[in-house]
Amino acid sequence: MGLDARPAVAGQDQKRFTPVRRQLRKPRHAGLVEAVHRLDAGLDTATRAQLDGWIRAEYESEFGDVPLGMFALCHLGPPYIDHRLDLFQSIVEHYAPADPVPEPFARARMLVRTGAYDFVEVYASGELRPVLHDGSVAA
Amino acid sequence: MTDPDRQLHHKVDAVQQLVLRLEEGVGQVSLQVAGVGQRTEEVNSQLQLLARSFEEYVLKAERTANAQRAETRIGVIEAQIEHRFGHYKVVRRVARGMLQGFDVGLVSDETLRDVGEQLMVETPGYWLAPVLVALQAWLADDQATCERAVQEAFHRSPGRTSLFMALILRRQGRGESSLRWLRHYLAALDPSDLGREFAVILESVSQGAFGPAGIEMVQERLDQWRAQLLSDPAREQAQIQRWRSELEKYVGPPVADRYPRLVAVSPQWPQMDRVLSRAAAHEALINRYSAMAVEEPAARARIEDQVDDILDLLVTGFDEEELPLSRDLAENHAIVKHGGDLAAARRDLDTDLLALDKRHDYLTTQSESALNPDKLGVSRATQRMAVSSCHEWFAQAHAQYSRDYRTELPADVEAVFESDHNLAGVAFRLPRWTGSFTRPIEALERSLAEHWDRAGRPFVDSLAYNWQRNLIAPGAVVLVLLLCGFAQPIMLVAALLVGAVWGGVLWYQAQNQAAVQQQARDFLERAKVDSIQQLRGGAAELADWTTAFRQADGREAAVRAVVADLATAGSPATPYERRVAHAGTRTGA
Repeated sequence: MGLDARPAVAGQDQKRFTPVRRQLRKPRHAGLVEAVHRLDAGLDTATRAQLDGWIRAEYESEFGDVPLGMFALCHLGPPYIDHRLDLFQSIVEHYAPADPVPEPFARARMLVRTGAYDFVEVYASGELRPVLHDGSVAA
Repeated sequence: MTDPDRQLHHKVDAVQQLVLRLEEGVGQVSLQVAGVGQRTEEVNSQLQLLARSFEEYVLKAERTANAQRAETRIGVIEAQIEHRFGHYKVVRRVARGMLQGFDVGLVSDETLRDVGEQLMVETPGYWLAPVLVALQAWLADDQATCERAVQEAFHRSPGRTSLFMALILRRQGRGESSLRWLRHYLAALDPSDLGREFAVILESVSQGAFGPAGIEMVQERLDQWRAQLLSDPAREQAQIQRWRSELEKYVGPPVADRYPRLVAVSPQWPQMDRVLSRAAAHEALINRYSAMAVEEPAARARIEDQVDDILDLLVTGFDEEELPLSRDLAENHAIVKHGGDLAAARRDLDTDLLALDKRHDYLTTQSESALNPDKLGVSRATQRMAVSSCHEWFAQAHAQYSRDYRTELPADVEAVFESDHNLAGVAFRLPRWTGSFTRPIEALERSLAEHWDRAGRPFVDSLAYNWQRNLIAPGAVVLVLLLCGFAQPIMLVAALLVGAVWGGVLWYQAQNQAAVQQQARDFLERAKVDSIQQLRGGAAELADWTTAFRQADGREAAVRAVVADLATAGSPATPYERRVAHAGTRTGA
């Protein structure tokens, strides 16, 4: 009856997945999570740039891919509810509920609002990799 | 009053009667037109209903036909299997009988030899027949025949013969020889291209059938394969994808009937429906897998029985010649199961048929043992062990699944009102009104009420009786008659009469129109109140939905905990793990 319409798996899809996929799924270590938290804490420009640099280097060596930045819930209190940490432009931007968030960060907004994630890594490809409170990641 | 006056008076009276009757007639016609309009709408909606039920009927008839056809096919395929492979059953039964004959020693050598040789003749090409001859020769201590028979069986199916011999030897307490066959079997395998019978190895490991030394050997080999295969990211991705499609089966049903007002007012509803039914999967997964994490599989009391079960599995479940028919059978069973819904059957089969493929890599064998134990014939204990081996893929697929539906959450839930109405033949359209539920409900209600008033007022005003326009004609006529009255005074009377009659008619019309206007005003008021109630109901249902979603979504962490439990639960810790296989201690743990 020809119901078997499965696509062929294993091997053929190899090109679509970068060889670092397994590396990307490694849990984010506590030092990195803490560094991301510190970005939010009103640092001066020089310290922030230095911290951004360290985080970028850490991603590069540990996971083989560097996110554009992170998106997380904001603890400053009203009117702000979430913020964007840009690793390349060294900026922290806080948003009120009605503020528009630039792409590709906007898609992470509803993810962090569920409260299930510590922060969400946002990549240039538009991919989102949410990091749970224990550092494990969906990639 | 003069005669012409009287005549004129009569005629004007007659005209007045006629005008009034005409007016009544027009009124009736307009009522009838409205009635016809209403009936057309009714007929229209009945037609739509009919069309819908007809479509449903066609679909149902088609599905019933599909299901019936599939049922017939099942009968045919089963008969085919019976016809083509039915005689294998005898061999399989005899194999088990022979082993029990071994145990109790009640069957004579001659009988065993006769049966073995007869089956050898009756089932040419079947690997199990020479194995029976070998068993009989072994029992009769006829080494030459035994070796030849084993060679023939090995020639027919090396994998299954090796496994069978390893299990038989284990069953008879020949640990050393058993391990030799096992090593032989494992060494010949390519982990990226395993036959279906490999599931027997997983079964044996989970049941501890090869004893501690065997488990260690197999486990070592399996770990090595796993590492080798996982170095290819595409293979791992394929397994994650496999688990992801398994998760899709746990998506809950649509919940629209629980939130009727939200469905009616919010354009974000389809997204919300999808997100909530996807979040419901967590609870279903917990129900399914938490029991597996805690259960302690029951083991058979005697190792002979244990091995016999595995032997049964080996001889019955994995004959490749039967696979095409088994696939066909599985397809038809799926169609019957889904009541003839081919699309649903196909969705199920896309993943399930994998278990009926001839060759798998080792990782797929593990996933299939975990997800499709029935189709591979493996036991619950093996399934549990396989789920445990797959926990990383399970966890990753689950994390991605949760991320994906959460990304779909609507950032803003809105209510939209926009409607068309028909009031006694006049169309009224409420322009689009959109309000976000993030605003306080009182403000939303006020805004919606104002919107109704703003749209309704000009409409009601437009229904007011237009005195100006309707006075033009009678005014002109009366004026002409008056002018004529200067020449002939009788015309003055005529002007007076015409003016009075026409005035009466206009007044009657104005009364009618005022009633229509009042009706429209009442209707719009009712519609406004309805809308506001719907908005309020929508807001209440949104609160319910949010609670339901939070609750369902919050179970995600519990699923992660269950997966973590399963990761440690499935090690092959069976009663046989510590048992050493040698003569005299074959039974009992």
